[in-house]
Amino acid sequence: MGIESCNKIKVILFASLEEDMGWKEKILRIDNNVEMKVNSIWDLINCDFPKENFIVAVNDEIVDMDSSINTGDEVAFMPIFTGG
Amino acid sequence: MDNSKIQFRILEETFNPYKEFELWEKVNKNSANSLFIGRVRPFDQYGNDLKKLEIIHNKGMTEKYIKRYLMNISKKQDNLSIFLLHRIGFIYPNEPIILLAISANHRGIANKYLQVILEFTKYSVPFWKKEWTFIGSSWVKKNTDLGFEL
Repeated sequence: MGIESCNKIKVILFASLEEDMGWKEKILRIDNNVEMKVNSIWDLINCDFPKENFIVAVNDEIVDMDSSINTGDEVAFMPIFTGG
Repeated sequence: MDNSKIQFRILEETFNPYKEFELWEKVNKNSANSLFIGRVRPFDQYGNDLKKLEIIHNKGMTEKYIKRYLMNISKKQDNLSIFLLHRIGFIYPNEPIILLAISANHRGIANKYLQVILEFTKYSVPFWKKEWTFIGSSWVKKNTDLGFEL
């Protein structure tokens, strides 16, 4: 797990998304009694961009937008990669 | 699997690709060696003169993905040595971004994995490029096409 606190997740943005949203990291409180998915987190951060254009990783592993999120997870939203 | 046959580093400072290759080749005795050096173009994606290129990465995840991918290739292919250097930070026109060298028993294997691993670094590892010109900056929106099917 990425962070230790109960009922919390960390959301991290990268590159153009970080600049467009105006923040890098946020700690969000989540309800342990409700199943949370990456899609829900995307909605929680009020991001208007098409989510299809982004890659998401949970605890440094790339996952689908409908993957489940657990307390303590680190969720990273990333634009397409342009290295090499 | 022999971990010593995989070497990769993410560098915050510029490097001399020929010196790095020379040092690496001294300990890699295979007969077929392929080398790729990628450098910063002097213009941005819109054709403007480029002042500098900035590369950022997802620290931790980037290293994890590269290591796992290279180890998987090493498991599949005997007698293969892989050497990968990739810059982050500010890089100036004509400075090296990436050095990739592959050593194998045959040219086909060396050339194949050079291309495969290079495309992996472009599309599957969390690096991002931002181009700085003399009037502003812009994120690189997509990689240049390979030009043929792998």
